[in-house]
Amino acid sequence: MGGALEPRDRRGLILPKWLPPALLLLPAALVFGGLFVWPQLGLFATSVASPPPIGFATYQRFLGDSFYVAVLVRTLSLGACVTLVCLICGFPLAFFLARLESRWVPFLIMIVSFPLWVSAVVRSFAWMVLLLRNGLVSIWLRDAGLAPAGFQLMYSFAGIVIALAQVLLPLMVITLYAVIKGIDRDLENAAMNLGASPGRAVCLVTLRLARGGIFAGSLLVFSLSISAFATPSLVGGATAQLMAVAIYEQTLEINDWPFAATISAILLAIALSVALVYGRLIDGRNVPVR
Amino acid sequence: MSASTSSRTINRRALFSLAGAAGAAAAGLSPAFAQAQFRGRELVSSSFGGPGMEIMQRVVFDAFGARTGARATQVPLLSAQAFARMRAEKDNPQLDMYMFSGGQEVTAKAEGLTQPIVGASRMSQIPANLRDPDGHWVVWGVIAEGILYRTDKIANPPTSYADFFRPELQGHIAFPHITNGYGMDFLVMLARMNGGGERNIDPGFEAMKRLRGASIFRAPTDVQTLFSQGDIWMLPYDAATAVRSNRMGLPVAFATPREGAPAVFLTACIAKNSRNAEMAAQIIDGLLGAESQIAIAREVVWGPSNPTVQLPADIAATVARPDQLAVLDRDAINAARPQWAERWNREIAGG
Amino acid sequence: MNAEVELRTVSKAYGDAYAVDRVSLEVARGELVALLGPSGCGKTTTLRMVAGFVEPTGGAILLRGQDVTRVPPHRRDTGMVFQSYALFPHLTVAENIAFGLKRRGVARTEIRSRVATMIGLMRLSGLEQRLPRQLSGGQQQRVAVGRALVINPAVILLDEPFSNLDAQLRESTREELRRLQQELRLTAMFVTHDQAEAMAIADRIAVMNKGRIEQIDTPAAVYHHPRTRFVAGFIGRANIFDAEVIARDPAGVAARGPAGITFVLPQGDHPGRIAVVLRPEAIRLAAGTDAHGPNTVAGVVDVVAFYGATAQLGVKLADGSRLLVEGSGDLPQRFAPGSAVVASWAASALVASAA
Ligand SMILES: Nc1ncnc2c1ncn2[C@@H]1O[C@H](COP(=O)(O)OP(=O)(O)OP(=O)(O)O)[C@@H](O)[C@H]1O
Ligand SMILES: [Mg+2]
Repeated sequence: MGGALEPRDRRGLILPKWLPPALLLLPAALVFGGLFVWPQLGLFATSVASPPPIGFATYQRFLGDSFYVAVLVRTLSLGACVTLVCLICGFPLAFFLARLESRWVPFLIMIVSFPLWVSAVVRSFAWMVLLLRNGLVSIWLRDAGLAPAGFQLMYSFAGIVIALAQVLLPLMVITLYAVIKGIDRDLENAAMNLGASPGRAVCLVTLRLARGGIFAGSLLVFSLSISAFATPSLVGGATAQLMAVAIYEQTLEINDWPFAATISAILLAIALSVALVYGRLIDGRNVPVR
Repeated sequence: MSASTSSRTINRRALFSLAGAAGAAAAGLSPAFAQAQFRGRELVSSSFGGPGMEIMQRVVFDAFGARTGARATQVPLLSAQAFARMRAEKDNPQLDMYMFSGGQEVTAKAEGLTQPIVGASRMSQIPANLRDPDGHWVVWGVIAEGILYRTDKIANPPTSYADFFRPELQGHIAFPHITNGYGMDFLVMLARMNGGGERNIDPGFEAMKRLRGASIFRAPTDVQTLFSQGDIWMLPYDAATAVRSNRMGLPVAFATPREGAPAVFLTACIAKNSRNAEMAAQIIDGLLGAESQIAIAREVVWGPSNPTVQLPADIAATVARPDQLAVLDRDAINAARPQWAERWNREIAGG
Repeated sequence: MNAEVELRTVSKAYGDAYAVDRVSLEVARGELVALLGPSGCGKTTTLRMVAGFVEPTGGAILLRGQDVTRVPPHRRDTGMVFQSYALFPHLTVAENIAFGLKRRGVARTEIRSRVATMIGLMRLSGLEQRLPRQLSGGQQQRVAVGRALVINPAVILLDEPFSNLDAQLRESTREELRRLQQELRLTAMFVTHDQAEAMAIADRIAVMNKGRIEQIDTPAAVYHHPRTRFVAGFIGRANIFDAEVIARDPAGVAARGPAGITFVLPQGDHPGRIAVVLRPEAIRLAAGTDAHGPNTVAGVVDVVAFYGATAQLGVKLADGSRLLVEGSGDLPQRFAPGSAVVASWAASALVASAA
């Protein structure tokens, strides 16, 4: 805000400089504070209260138990796998849409976002039909010799990855689409003009410049997949031994709230640190994101 | 998450509509003064969702509303979620009345979350083992569990939980996750069959481990999909689901195992600080009445808890007889639930 | 002819609309040809077809005699300077310039020396490690040119390379580019909608209108002998009159124009209706009211614009139209607004073009 320009109200009253921004931020801050920060603090307080008043027994229990450590590792690898699949499938698709000069683009984007319109239950039900032993996908894999007899994707880790990647792909595509759309197409043309094949032009230029979008999309997909509950438990059945499922079970089936709070706190802490580290990695050269 | 993906649960698939609409006159159970007393007030109860909820709404809740000028509604909630909510809203309950299917009412009473049901005259008709001695809760329906199987794939029908170990059925077996109440009961019945029980669960785990190749599912809706895919031939579930699958055209039948059909009791109780306790008591009384009990038995195959209710012959055949029920020690199961669930995750889910 | 670039009836249609319509053009080695025309006339499209970014719907494009019409951009030997420069924002100045050499597999030591040479040539010394966003507009423009030049392309293609620079910088950069082009004997195609820019540096100008080339000639020829009314109007300032040929003889052609003017032109092969072009600087003014004979007309001065060394006057004619006159800076003193004048011009100053 220009130093000389003091905001005034209509009667010429001079308002303090911090007031208008503070007022603008207020609604979001209230919602965020009341519905997220405050409950999170409560959750955290619950997690560090055994034994009371302050104790870390639940953390010791989690971290000292190879079963729960495995749950954590499985959850993180699920996030990584889903993110990778979404990136590999999403980038070409987003690139194609961003470079397509057609008035059908909005319609195509709508189609891409279709999985988001369908409830988790219905979507998982559809996957079930495809992934069960007698389902198309499982049969193809067996026929192609890629899987042993009796193999099924349903109730397996790979099945969860596929089902989650399908729901989250639109988020990746839409995020990347916006970023790629903002990258001057002439940069690719310039690279080709200088002798780079189209593929290399995309790798050397577009992919580099889309880093911000790749970061944002990956983070979105990663955090949603490590906290996903419905899809993994429906498609994964008993194999869905994941953080979110553990939280659900501890809260609603086992009624151990302090332990559930601990798992939530650990999940949140990990999600945040992954975001920070990943941000550092990808933003290596501090290229402005357009 | 939808209400139908639940622990002890109750599906919401559409059913044929009731043949004759519920009779206009509800049994005369309310003193005349109540009509004025409740006018304009609002009662909310948790419920299991699905067709069962619709029937109860029509036969009991709406009838009560029409009679008194009050509004009585239900919100679908899984038992576990309902209980979590009951606990969270302890001091200022938003729901007046709760329905549970997983024995939560016992814990609720123990934690002081309930109050005695006063003014439901039919409570006295209910056998003593189906209601709380202090009148805090009462069973209004009974779900019988057993074995569901594909009649076209399995020539000689199963008669025992031992049939899950028949060699020719390997690879064609499924069972529910332990967080699904039927999964828990299956574990207990396997333990009982092998010389253990609620207080000695080890044999159950040992037996379940021998079912390694089985598909383990969480969602109740998976039952029909599993059967319709043709790959799964047998799984432990409830009679209502068998009837429903049958109505959908699947060749599925229900068998009552020799070891007994574990019973799930559907209960109702009133939240401690509810301002509408008297209204809730009248609703509960309605649930125990013949009209409601018969309608529910006909449409969702939940057996009656009131022995004075006479089921028509055609319905009686599909509902398990009381002498076929295995009554499980729910207190013991609830107390051990956390340990078993943890152990199950480690030993059975193969994590 | 030994053409580096040749376009043979090249067309580009988008649906029913022709962005470029049967354009034929040759650019000789060491020649700078400007594509000049109003916005939307197809200049950029033509240039992009040469680079290979846009595929023609008809015709053929040849580079050094090779038909490259279906060759993808990265296998064509062109160096493009984009209007937005299209510098890679994530690469330094040196890396931007080295980009094309790397793609061509040039040895590292050679890359280093060629980049260094180019940095010197483009006066970018000291800026090697900067990112494009840390450069001024003029510096960015020089990086873009350097990046295209360093690969020694058969032709260098420039799309309005000066349009993002301010007026002063534009002029100096333009002269610098011209000097470089002549020194290195570069073959270049250059797009602009600024006729002064085209006149200043091009060897030849192709004037485009609605997807077609109206005339292609040296700047002087385009100026003095516009072949069409559009060219006359687009290049420089011009008074253009519709006229009808009334007599022909070996000495010349007489034509009747508006406001009672009779034009006498040098002999030419003109149809009945013509457009007569008269450049404002070819008109002489004298005080008076009577205009007798051909190539004169009487009027009243109504607007005056003074530019220092030169000045322009508007002379209102009898039919209400206005004649633009350009002359030395003392014109406004001699003819104040309102004064009656007689304008006259030499027959040789008149050019007839198709109506
Ligand atoms: N991708 C396209 N689809 C449809 N029409 C197009 C496309 N690209 C260009 N055109 C049309 O082709 C015509 C020529 O465009 P072009 O960009 O070559 O003009 P230009 O002479 O470079 O104009 P300017 O001076 O404004 O840059 C324009 O009418 C334009 O609208
Ligand atoms: Mg252009």
